[in-house]
Amino acid sequence: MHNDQKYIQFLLQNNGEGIQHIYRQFADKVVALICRNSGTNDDGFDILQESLVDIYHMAKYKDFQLTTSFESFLLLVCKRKWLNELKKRKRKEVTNVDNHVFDIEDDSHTAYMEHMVLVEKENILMELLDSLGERCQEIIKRCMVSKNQEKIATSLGLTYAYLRKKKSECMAKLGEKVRAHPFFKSNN
Amino acid sequence: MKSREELIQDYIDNVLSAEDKRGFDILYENDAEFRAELRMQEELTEVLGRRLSSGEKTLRASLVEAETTHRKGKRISWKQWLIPLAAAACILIVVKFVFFQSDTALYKLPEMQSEVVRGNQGNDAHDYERAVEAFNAKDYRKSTSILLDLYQTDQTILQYQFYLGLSLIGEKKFDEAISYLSPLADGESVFRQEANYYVAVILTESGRIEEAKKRLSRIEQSSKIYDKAQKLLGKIK
Repeated sequence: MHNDQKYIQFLLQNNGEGIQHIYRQFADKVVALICRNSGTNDDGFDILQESLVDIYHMAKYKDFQLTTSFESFLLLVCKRKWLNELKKRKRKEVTNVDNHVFDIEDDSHTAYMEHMVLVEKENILMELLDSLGERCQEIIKRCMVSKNQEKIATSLGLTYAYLRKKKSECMAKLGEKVRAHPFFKSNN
Repeated sequence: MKSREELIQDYIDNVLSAEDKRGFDILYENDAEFRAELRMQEELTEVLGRRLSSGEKTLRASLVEAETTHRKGKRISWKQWLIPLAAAACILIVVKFVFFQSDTALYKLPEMQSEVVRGNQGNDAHDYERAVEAFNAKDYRKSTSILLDLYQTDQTILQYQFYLGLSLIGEKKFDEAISYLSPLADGESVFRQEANYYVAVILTESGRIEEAKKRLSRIEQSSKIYDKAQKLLGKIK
């Protein structure tokens, strides 16, 4: 096990002191990287937070093992995330980007690629869920975390049969959005 | 007759009736699109279920807190803290000399001993020595950071936990310090007596005098810290 695996444990255990330690060790490096590449301090901290959440999901879902230092892995995730953010902002033409900074096709990093793509896919799904109507979001979110749908129906003031019908309609709508999203189109 | 979407959701949630099951099976056998939709809905359900109960919200709260602390630390310029710091230092000096002339020794942290812990374990032993150096130089921020790493690496080595608690006292992070020292104070290890003493120091600092007295009275006469404990007890009575 890589010695830096402890940083992953800090995230998995939501260890307050450990997380403070991560910020002390790595925040300035991430922020500097983003600032050198057309971002602001706030962008840097946002990217760091989102990247740490991504790493948490990677580690929580699968038996994730570091094969490099945590710093190297974190910077890789941050770079990829920032690149996606720049694409989103349609700022691909930015001139102030370090040469090779987004060259992420390093052999030592290919092992991470599968994890990163999977988390990106899941993040998009969560964004699509948030783009549904409020009622649909509520029904899906509640049905996914509790199996007692009769209780959910009562608390929402619906009949059980109507809740089932609405849930299937909402999930079908979400499925349509997933199919229509460019990421899933290009990855199918 | 239920819709295809309803059949799929009923199947996934395992509430398909016998009659609907027949309809479902027919579609499953003969309709590739239906099968593809089912696969996708199963995947969506798995991901949503996992993500929505992942504890992400709690983690985000900790990340926001860490970011705030980190950024606050950066933002304060020397001009901003110099005057309050100087004022605080003056008050502290006056208070210490006028009111608590003999307290310094009672509150003083012990020297951290340089030694190999449970066999020489390469990096850990090296890190421990770095922690000793930082701790004894009163660079508690650094010693806390190193000791926390060591503690996370092996939580069975109570020596790491003990000095981590003391280092946090050095940083004036009393709440965190007490969380590491209390289990030792309540336990059976060789650190029990001293941990009780330093927990009592924290409690005294926090104005929880009665709790501090209880802790101090637990310290055994045979302990090397007994005399200090008695002095502190006399002070706060």
